[in-house]
Amino acid sequence: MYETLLNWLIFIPALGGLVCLFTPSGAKAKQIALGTSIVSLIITIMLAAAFQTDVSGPQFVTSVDWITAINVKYSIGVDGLSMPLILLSSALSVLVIAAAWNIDKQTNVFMAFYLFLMTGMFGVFLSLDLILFYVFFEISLLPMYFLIGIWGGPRKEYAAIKFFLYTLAGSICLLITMLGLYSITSEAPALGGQNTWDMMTLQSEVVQSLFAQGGPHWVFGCVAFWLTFIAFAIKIPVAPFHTWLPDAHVEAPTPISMILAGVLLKMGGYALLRITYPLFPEAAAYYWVCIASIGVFGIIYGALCAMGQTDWKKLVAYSSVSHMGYVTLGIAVLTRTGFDGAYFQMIGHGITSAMMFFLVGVLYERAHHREINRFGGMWLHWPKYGGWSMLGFFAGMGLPGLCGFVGEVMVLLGTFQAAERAGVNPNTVYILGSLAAFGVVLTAGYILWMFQRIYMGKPREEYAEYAPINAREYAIMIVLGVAALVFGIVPALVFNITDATFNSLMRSIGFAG
Amino acid sequence: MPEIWLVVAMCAVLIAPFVKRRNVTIPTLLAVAGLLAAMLFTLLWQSSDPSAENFRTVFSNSLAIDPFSQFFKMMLFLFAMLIVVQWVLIGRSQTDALDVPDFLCLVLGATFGMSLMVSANNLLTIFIAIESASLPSFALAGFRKHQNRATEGSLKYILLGAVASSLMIYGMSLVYGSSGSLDLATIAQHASSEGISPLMGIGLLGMFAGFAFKLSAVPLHFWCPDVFEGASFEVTTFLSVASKAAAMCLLVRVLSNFAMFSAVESITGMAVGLGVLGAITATWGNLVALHQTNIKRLLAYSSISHAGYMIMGASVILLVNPTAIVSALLFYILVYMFMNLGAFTVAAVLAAQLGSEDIRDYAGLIKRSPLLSILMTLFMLSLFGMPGLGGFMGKLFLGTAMIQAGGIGALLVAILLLNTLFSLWYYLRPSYFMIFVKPNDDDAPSTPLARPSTATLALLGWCVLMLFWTGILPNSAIQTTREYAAIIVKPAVRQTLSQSTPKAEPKIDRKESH
Repeated sequence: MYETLLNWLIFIPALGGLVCLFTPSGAKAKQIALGTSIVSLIITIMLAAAFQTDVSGPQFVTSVDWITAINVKYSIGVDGLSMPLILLSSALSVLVIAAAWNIDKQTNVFMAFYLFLMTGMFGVFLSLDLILFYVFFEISLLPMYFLIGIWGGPRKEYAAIKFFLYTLAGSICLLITMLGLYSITSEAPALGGQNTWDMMTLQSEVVQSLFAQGGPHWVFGCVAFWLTFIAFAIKIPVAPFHTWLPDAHVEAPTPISMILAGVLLKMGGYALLRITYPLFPEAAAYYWVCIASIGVFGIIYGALCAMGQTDWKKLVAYSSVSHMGYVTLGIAVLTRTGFDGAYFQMIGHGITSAMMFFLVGVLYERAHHREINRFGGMWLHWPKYGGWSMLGFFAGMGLPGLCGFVGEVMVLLGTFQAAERAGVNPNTVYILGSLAAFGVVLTAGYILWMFQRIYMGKPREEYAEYAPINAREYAIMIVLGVAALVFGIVPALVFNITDATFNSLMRSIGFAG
Repeated sequence: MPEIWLVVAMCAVLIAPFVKRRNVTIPTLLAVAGLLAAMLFTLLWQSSDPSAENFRTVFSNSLAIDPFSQFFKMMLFLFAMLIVVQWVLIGRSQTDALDVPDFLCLVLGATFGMSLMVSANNLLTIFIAIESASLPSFALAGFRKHQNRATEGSLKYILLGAVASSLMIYGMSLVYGSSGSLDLATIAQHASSEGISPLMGIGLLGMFAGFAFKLSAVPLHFWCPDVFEGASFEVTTFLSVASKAAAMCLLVRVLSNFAMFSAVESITGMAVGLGVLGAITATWGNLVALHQTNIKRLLAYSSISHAGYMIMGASVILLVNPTAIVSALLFYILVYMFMNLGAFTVAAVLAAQLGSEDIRDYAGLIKRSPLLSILMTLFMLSLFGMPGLGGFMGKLFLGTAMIQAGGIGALLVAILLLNTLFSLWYYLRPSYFMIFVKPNDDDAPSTPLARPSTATLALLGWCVLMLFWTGILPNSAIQTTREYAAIIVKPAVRQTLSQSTPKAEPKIDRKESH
């Protein structure tokens, strides 16, 4: 029964999307979309309730032949790595549709594209077959392209095509690697000369040993590691590949920014943990300093860029670059704490970034500009909004007790733990760790400075013309704010689910610690 | 011989006006009937089990009647029929009634030549087939005789065609001179036992130049955009798919004969050379397509780059088990046929209503004709290779087959995929104008376009359906092409080979195990 539910989870949004597309009335389409997303949320909660936390492998697996000629299977399932992310996706989707309630241009098409995007997101998180993963990874690009390109800001076309081309460049790196893997797997004797795309088979020791140092395909392993890393680094985005993100965020409408930062960026981090690291652990260990440095560079660079912005939304966009740098760093150091921290950072950032973009959107809708210096005194004008904003931005900053804190601290702890790993120069670790820790200071710097400029001081006269914040908007803020608080106090909510899977993941890549 | 029915239909179409002057229905029906008869005959001619040793030759080994050619002929006749349908729906009203039989006769004639190209198994028949496909194509390209563009395109086509043909026949004479035979298998056998002499090398180069012209491979592609721009939409669609696909199949047959002898080093050289040709063609086509504004020229360069992808794929035939790659090519051609037919049909409908082939004039079309805009976007996305549509599966099958060739294959696959990245930009251009851009001048018409006729919509709907079918559930299609691609070389040749050259044995075993 749960297997069927899991299949429905992928296809219900697409069906809802088709219905929306042919619904002429915008109001009806909104209701259909909201209904569909609530159904998805209920399905995910049912799955989470039935999810066995002590099983490491995928559960509720469906696996049927799809293209027999090249041995592609339609195989989906959920494990500790994907469960929290599909919960996050479906919960955020409900909020995003609520946040999109006042979209009045072609509402039915907007909702249809959004629901197609949901299918893509769930598909990415649930696929256990590389080709299937790739198909959903690509399919999620197209609705996003139209969502930014049609409903976006003044430079929407540019931002949309830039987003599409950048991510596609990554996808192509991934596809090249996948085809290479496909031809190499037939050489592994234990697989019986059968080419395979199955992620679980590819993570087995037999395949890993092919790409091990001194193994028959060590060079391919290194190239493939870098290609897949770049593929997902573009999505995360890691600092040198991030330039699509500020453009996409600035031009995208608020709800789309929320889902882009909240879930789509997580596809990158998820795929690193699902594909890159388990497949090529030796290459990952060999190049760990490079990857960790890239992560640290992202943290510092993103924070410095954020500090220099005068556009509020761009500031939040660069804060995403900085925060996602912790994810890269946490994964790169190859310690259990680091992995846990990186994963929690993804969930925490999913909540806080969605909230921050929503808070920006609420004000932008009324002021029609996002210049930080043209605001001020917001707190006095709208104390309640100010209060929830404080919660949201401080959670993003990583204030203890809120969800941003747990991830950052665990990543830093995990980084310093890496000094104990065999063959690692402790000094490298200390330098990287200290720099990353300095990033926390920078984060506090840009968030507090922004907060001061927008919320403190004397209220401006034009605020009087702003429409009051309605109950729908408060509801979204409250849900996200409470989530930020709850996950900050009880991070075990996530770790309970991921524990077994991460144990086996660490064993499989050879760093059980 | 199913082609006989085409000849019969050609004669009938030409006689028809003497019976009833200025009637357009009778010749059209006769042409369709001829194509249907040819299809039926193709089905009957072949035994029901394509996987059996079913390789026959007729006319002293000069024409091969095998599952591979049967499959392609079925596609070709179907496509020719669809072209006639497309012409009836959109172009016939613009054709003078007196010219109708001529037009149909030329289409049938070109189809006849193309269907011979797939079967040709001998240098002489190859030349005759290519010429009988080319001559009607030249005339078709210039069929809109009052248009300067058409005349220019046609003249360019004829001149380049003449150069390519003379290169080819010169090359063939050198090949014959050095190997002493016109038969492909014997030539290949000679090449393996004696090595490829410089004389034969030059000869093969000349021969491939002839093929490259038909395939519009760079640097012999210059005719393609001009002919496409000048000719009517039906002719453009026909040439962009049928003529290239037929040349592709001919190339596949020639290469498959050589592939029996992969032990020879110079054959690896041949594969690399072809791979480079394909890579240059694909990259050049894509780069030039980036700044095209005429939809026909854009699709012309797109067809050049697709030819490049297929040549890259075909080059690998010489290195690995051909079944996978040949079936991938057949699948690719099948998908390519539907996406190009769809894209050109939408462009033709739009050109008829807007009076423009410039994609900048598509601005704001999503408001005026949402259906056509969405259809165009779908065809373009399939040409680009969006998962869920057939174009992606075509590239995936091509990629999985090519990657088996080791380093060269991996490099070619990487080039192919990078090319798809470039191509995204121009494939999204029409949709970009249709959906994102508002028309600049205020007095631009904003009235909805007339709804295309139901038959046109059915044709387009069928194309879309085929793309979704091959993109989402490609299993049956790829399995079928796999069965039909299993035998391209005469079994007798393979047997003598396995006795005489032990080196080639493991390769042949693999082939039969699939």
